[in-house]
Amino acid sequence: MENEQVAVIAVKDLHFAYADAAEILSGISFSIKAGEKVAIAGPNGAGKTTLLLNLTGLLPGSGQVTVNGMRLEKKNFPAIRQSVGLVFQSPDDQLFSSRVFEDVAYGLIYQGMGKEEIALRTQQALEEVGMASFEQAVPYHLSLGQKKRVAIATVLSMRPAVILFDEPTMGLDARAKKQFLQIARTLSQTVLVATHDMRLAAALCSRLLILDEGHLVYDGPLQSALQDTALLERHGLDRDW
Amino acid sequence: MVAFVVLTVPLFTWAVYILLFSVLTAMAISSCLPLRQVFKRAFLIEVPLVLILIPLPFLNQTAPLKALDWWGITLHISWSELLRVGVLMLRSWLIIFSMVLFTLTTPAGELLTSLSDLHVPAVLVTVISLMWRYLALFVDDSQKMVAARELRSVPARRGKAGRFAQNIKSAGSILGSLFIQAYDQSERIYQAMQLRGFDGTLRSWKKEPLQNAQKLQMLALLMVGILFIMGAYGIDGK
Ligand SMILES: Nc1ncnc2c1ncn2[C@@H]1O[C@H](COP(=O)(O)OP(=O)(O)OP(=O)(O)O)[C@@H](O)[C@H]1O
Ligand SMILES: [Mg+2]
Repeated sequence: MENEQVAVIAVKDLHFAYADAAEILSGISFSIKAGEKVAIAGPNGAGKTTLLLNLTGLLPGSGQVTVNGMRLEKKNFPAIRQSVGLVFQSPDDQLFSSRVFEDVAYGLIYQGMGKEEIALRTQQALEEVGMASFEQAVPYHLSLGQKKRVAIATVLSMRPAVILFDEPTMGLDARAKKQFLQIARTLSQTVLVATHDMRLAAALCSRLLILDEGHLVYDGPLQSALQDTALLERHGLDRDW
Repeated sequence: MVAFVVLTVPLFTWAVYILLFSVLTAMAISSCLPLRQVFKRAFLIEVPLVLILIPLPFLNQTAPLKALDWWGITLHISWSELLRVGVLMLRSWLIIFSMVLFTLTTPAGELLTSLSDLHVPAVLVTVISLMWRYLALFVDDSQKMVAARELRSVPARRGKAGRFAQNIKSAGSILGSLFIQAYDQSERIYQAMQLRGFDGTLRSWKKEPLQNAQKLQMLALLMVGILFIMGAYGIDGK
């Protein structure tokens, strides 16, 4: 019981299947404490994205999920979505306004915040990702790296307790990857990163979850997983970096 | 806006088409765009649509213009149908032309801000900007797919007929995956909106939250409807 108090995310026996398809998540259980930075790795199609969507209630899995002490159920969705931010794999899914500013302010407007507060938070979030000068830019004409940073700002502006990243470094060049790492490292929030990028995982996280075919096959220190070449190879992960 | 005009005018008002065409061309020239490239892009996107439209003249059996005997299958072509298909192609091409033009010149953002300066309701601006975003992605995606197909299609060894059949097949699948992709993406964008608190009402930075939520939704539906008509007017009679 006491353990559940400190857990920001607690997942117990989570099952999920898309309509008329095989089970994608088969009995996942884990819990994450406040301030932890955890990587979720696993081969393509393992169910990482599906798991993240389940944690926000966007997909309705069965099992027990608590986020920030709240059961994941419909009446809690507004509160939960204020405390969990998800950065999508493709920033094109996340940026839909005609100005960067509006996209970053979007969630705040829906929280019914005052204008000064919105302007302030938006500014801060953009500064945190180094995009302050792009406030009036058109989101879909930015480069991929810039889009990804703005996408992060749309989540940061809401000041969530937990941030979920889906493949944050995919498609980025070495410099943009480093920039992401810098941003992620300074976050005080609980962070969950779904990635194939073991270099990123190692630089950011101390704990690793490995997901394969809907099962959680490893949950432990990242460093010891890195030593276990057989384990990594078995689950399509690469230690060569 | 052009799409709107094109869709609302009666089918055979040639003057309007000519006017629109010259306006668009003038815009392209005045913004220093390479005309040939613009035309080429517009035509590339038109290709899948044309393939949908082609069977139409054969389907209507009234007032056949000519009967074709082709491998034992008799096909009737009617003049009026042929004409209609021609006009539909022209209409769709004009819409696509304007879309390409706008995505190239990028006044979308400015256009939208100027709309709100003109006291167009914030909701309308939001809906249009969402639609805008969508069309841009759609055009982008279709261009990528056409390019990808082009890269993969092996130089013809099967002769013209074979190549044509191949083209039809791949255009069909391009169109199919375009729609699936568009659908999937709309799903994900909707998820992203939900995560940030979207609750079915549209709110904007500029104006206070609007009350008449239902009216707004109807408006949104109307806009979506227009989008769908744009995709489906090949089937739409007259
Ligand atoms: N909308 C959907 N409808 C049906 N099946 C889906 C859908 N989205 C994903 N899947 C299936 O669910 C499985 C897990 O997909 P998911 O995207 O969660 O994997 P992933 O671990 O994120 O993979 P990747 O590393 O490639 O991003 C895959 O087999 C996929 O085909
Ligand atoms: Mg994924």
